[in-house]
Amino acid sequence: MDDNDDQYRWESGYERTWEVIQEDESGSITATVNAINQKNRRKELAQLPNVRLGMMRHLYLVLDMSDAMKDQDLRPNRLFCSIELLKEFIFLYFDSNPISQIGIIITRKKRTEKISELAGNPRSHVALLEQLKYQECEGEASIQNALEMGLQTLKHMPKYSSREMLFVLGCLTTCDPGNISQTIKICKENEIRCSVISLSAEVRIFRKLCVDTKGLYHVIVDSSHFQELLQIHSRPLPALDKFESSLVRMGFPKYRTYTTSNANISSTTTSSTKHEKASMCMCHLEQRGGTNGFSIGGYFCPTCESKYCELPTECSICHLTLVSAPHLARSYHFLFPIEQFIEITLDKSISKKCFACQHIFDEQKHKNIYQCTSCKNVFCFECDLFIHGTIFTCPGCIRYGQLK
Amino acid sequence: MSSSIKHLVVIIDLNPFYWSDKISSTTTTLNFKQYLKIIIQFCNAYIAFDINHRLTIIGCSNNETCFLYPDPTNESLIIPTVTKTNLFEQLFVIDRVVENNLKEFIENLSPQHISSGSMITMALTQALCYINRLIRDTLPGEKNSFRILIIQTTTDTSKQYMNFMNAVFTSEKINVPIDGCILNNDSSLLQQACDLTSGIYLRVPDPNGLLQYLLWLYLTDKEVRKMLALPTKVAVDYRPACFCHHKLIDTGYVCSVCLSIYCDNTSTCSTCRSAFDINNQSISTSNGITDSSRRQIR
Ligand SMILES: [Zn+2]
Ligand SMILES: [Zn+2]
Ligand SMILES: [Zn+2]
Ligand SMILES: [Zn+2]
Ligand SMILES: [Zn+2]
Repeated sequence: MDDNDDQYRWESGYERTWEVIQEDESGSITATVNAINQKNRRKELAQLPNVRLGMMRHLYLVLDMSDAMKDQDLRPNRLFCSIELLKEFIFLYFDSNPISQIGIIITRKKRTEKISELAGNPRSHVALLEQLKYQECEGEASIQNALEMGLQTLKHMPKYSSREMLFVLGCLTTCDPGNISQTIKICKENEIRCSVISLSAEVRIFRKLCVDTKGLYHVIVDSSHFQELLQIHSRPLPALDKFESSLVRMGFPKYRTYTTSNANISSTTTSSTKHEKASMCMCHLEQRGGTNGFSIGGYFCPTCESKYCELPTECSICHLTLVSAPHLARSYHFLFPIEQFIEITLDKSISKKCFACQHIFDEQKHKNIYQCTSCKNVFCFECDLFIHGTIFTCPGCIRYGQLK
Repeated sequence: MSSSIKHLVVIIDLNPFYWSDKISSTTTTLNFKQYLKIIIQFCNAYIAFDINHRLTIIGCSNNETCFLYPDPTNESLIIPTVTKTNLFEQLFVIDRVVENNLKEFIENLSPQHISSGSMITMALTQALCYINRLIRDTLPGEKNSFRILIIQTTTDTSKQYMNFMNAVFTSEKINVPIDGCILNNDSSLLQQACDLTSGIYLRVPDPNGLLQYLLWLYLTDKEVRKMLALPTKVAVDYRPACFCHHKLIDTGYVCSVCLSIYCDNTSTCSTCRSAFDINNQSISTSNGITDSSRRQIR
């Protein structure tokens, strides 16, 4: 359905889907099911090489808290299930987009409410989401109000970042103060990409919103499909055509500290003695009371020397984005994806064992093995998946230096 | 006592480069033969230490890696038994298998392009795939733990940075700590790997004491380590090197499309070929400032 916008499943031709599945001698269908699963997993991992991605994202999550979210078609109810999955989503999002920001908006009683401003710390967002579980779902949702609220902040975000809104909606109606088409037009003009995950059924105006703003529109089948869809949204989307590129100035602070066990000053610090005292970090300064944030060590902004206890963050004094190298390195695999391995039969291979896990191929289990097109090494199915889905590095190609 | 299996994968740097100048020197410093002997001793100690210990040894040279133990042609792991004679047999098997494979591996080394870097990253990714398979083969209810120890003698190669970090993030994801032990100068990559996966990093101050250090720190896993006096942790330098000159920087410019790092303003990104408008730069920063000030007013 997602691949073909014009045609619904029920409008397409009659398919004998069950004929794909074949029983083996013992009457078991596990082998065919496995083969289908394998094919699907490989397809899922096939990435388009060198697409320009919007790596810096500013995203507003809009959560529906209208009456419709009390429905129990998801367990225990729509709201609880959504919050649990969104918590997971937030961590995935920051794993894939380390220097991006997220904000949360809820809509109920024809109004909208901003739960959190755009910020980069996953833990504070998750804590706020958790609190929403104990609030009442009531009234109707207003998509227009939510759009207006997101628009207000997002239109000021720099042009080189990807500006997005993601709606999780249980409702089938929207109660708006004005003409929503007008608001959609403004979103389109401002290049704000809106995507909707609908928990109940397709609604025309939601689809129009997504199509017009080049977002994605999905209706969930069940909770595991919901989870898959959120995973798709956690990965950076291909950049829009008019996407601007820019150089962003960033700071890479060094951690300086005392050692905790015996008060030796660690030898790596070359700085003068002024940092070797306990001090408050800027991120906890606003929360008065408590000893949080009062410590000896910390990350010091390279331009203004203010202290932070966590990265990534934006320096509140000089507005420099502060990150560490691994934050950036975590997303490099999106930019340098490794090519798909090709499927070959066992008898065509010279090597009789998997190059990565050293597993010796056996005729029965490994009918198909996988070969890297550049280093020509062969891999078993498990390693193929692991290499393309988790490591993002072909062990054999390392010999030839860094991937280009 | 829980009977969970503990796997250790030892990655040994066998690049002859580090040892080349140490053959002729006086007997006071460690030579290659003693180095190998110490590692075998450590591996024996590891196997003898606990009946639930399992061992894998991967050797790596400047352009090749090799699974030294268990023997790749003989997949079955030999399980140590309690009786003394059998235990001896187990150690005997390890010694013989490692010795044979090591000989073969070193004889096949290509002497033509000996470089100072080793295929540590290749060995590490192979180790992760190997562990991944062991995890997949785990029966439900079994609780096995895995650990990787890298014994490195050569310096880092900046070429491998991205691949190495990918491997480290994987290790972090599947919860496998990486321990690092280096005989040469401090390795920033290895330091980051240990810090991110909460393993132990050590630069051996005196190579002659290598066995002592290995037995002290790397024989035991997380639970026992809580009771040990560990080397004081130093702050890890997480500054990146710029893509243009490979020097460490405090502040730099990052391409908004591909996150490449530059130490100075450039007009185009060498990685993704995006063109930058220099005027654009000033607009984007001022935008950021007005936005945040606006936020504060409200
Ligand atoms: Zn600052
Ligand atoms: Zn394999
Ligand atoms: Zn390859
Ligand atoms: Zn440079
Ligand atoms: Zn770039």
